Amino acid sequence: MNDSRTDSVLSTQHLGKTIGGRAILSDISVSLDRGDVVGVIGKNGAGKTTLLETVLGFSPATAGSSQIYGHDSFMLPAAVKSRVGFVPQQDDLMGMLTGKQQLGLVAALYGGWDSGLIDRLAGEWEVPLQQRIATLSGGERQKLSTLLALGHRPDLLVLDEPVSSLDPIARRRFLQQILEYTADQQRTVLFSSHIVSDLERVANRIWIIRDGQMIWQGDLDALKESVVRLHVRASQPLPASLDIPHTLFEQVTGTSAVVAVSHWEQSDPAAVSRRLNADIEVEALGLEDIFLELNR
Amino acid sequence: MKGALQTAWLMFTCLGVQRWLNAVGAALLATGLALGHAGAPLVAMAIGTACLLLTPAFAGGMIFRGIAGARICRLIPHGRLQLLLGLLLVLILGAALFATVTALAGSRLTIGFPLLFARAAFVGTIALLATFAGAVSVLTMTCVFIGLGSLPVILPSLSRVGGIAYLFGSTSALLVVTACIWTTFGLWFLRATFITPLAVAEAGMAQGGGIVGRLKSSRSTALTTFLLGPSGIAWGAIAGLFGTALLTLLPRLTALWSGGAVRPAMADLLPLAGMVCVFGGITGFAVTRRAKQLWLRGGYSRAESFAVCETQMWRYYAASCSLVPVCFAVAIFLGKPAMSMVLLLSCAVTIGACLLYFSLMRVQPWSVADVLVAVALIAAFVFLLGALNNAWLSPAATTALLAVQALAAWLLRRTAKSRWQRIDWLIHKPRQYSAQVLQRAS
Repeated sequence: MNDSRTDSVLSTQHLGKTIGGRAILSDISVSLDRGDVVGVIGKNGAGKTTLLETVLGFSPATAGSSQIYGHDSFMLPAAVKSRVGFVPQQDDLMGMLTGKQQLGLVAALYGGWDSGLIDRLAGEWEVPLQQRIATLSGGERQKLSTLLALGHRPDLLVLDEPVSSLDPIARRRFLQQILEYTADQQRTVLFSSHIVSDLERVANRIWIIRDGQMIWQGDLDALKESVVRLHVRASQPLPASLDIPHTLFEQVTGTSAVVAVSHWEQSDPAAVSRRLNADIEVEALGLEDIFLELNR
Repeated sequence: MKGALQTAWLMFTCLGVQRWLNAVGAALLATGLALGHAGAPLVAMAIGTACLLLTPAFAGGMIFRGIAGARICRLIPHGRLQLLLGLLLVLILGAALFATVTALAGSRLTIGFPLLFARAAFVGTIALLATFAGAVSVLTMTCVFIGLGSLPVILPSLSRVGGIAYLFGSTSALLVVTACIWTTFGLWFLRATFITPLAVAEAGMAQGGGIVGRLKSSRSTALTTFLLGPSGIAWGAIAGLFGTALLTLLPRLTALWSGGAVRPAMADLLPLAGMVCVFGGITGFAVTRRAKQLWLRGGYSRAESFAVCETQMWRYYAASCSLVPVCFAVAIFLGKPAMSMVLLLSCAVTIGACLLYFSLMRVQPWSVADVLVAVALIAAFVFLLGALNNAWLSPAATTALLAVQALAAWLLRRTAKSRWQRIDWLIHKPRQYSAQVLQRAS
């Protein structure tokens, strides 16, 4: 199933998207390799859904380009589409059907459908397939929607807010199974979520979007090394501005200050300490705090 | 009072296409008024008025349900009263506009502004309240549209019946009846514990409605189901058969009620021809949005998606109108002029095809060209029915008109196909409904 043309699963070059004169995405250049589990985070309206739907070819880019398995996203051939699974933020289920009927119809659109996998997952996730979809809860619809995307065993799985309606137990179990699904290093997962703790648990790479621009893309560990909070304590009053490079946030109160910085791994802590004549304590941040600092 | 004014404003301006139609309608009306009240300016005034009143008359009740069904309305002090006054204001404004234009244009009319106003208010009341009541399910909405569509046929016949003739000839009687209807509706509306929101009806339609039996898990079933809903074609066929039966029987019944007055040969089949025209455009808007699923799951390119949607729409169209050609054949068998019948049906089908491709074209925001095409289609529809009913055109001219319409359908198809090459499903995505709405709809 591997495409000989490229090892890159997905890539974009200076991708831009404007809708009604408003720039939703601008200058996004990212890439995704086989086996990656990438989490996309951003505030509401940051452009996460637009990014996912544009790279999948649902929507034409207004600038730049994007490719999946080396093919232009907007003109994806059927063979490539069959390697992609997508769980949209708003499901496209048909309320009058039962879950089983909907699965049957979607299965009919694909050449290979792993009924065994779907039956197993439906059992484990407790999805009532015999019930009409209109009577399912939000969480059950979301699980069913994910089953529809997994049945043809896609190499690239794209999930837009896949766990927003799930309770914490279901969420953890669901994410664990997504990890198992990618465990053979052949499959790639790209998913967006507001629940940052989930991303931290399963993603090995993070994309952070703010106002349509990619402000961070890279390994989660590297992100944690890069964005930190500094607690500065001096014996004499500190200046109003500490002038630390890449400052995201700064609060100076007399002889102490709290500063959030990015790119800390490029800084020289000792030099900063000497310049300010102060002790600096570096606090490592969790992904949620990093996200908050980057979006202040 | 501010709330009432806002409601009335919304009813006239809430849809994007409505604002465009208003602009075109106002321009045509102003041109007609400036140039005189006969000949071409009169036609401009008639089309202008139709553009201004079309949406409030045929969708006003649905829009009103959309506003009134929102739960937030219950929290606004005197919210429902303000909405009701707004709806009444829409009726008064619409009836006044219609009566004014008709009185100005119709120098040959023997009736004056008051009676015209009273008639317009009465018919407008029926249209607004029927669409309000009907916008809860596919079946009721279909019935309401068929009923409204057949009003022009029924009313002239009914107006010859004794009591009804008196009603339609008396301004005060009409106004009293209209006021009684509004009082009854108002009392119910202000006291109703729950008003089913429009989204419930929409969601029911989006899901195809009806009871779903066993579905074959095949590619063709999947395509039909995803595009038209699980019982889409069946519903289309039922609505079409029901509509055909109703529109065939009603003229006969009204003729009986009116003392057996013989109707002109052509006019008997005009409602059916109108139905064939309108059914062409009914499904396109939903289908283009639902085609999103085919892009990734079906593996179709945009051009292939267009072809699949086109096929499904024609199937729906054929199912809906399957009985109409039979009715025309029976009419010919019973002695109606064969040539006229064939031309009428052909013209209706070509306008239906134009509407079908026009709805498939709607994959980008409304442009000036789209609005002009919409106005042209409405004008063609009105002109066709008028021309065929009053024998304005010779068979040769009608054949030429038919060729022009076929050419227009071909051009619209080309435009639609070309637009589908760049369809943006981020914008034209399927409508979403809350779980609560979906449960109610089911």
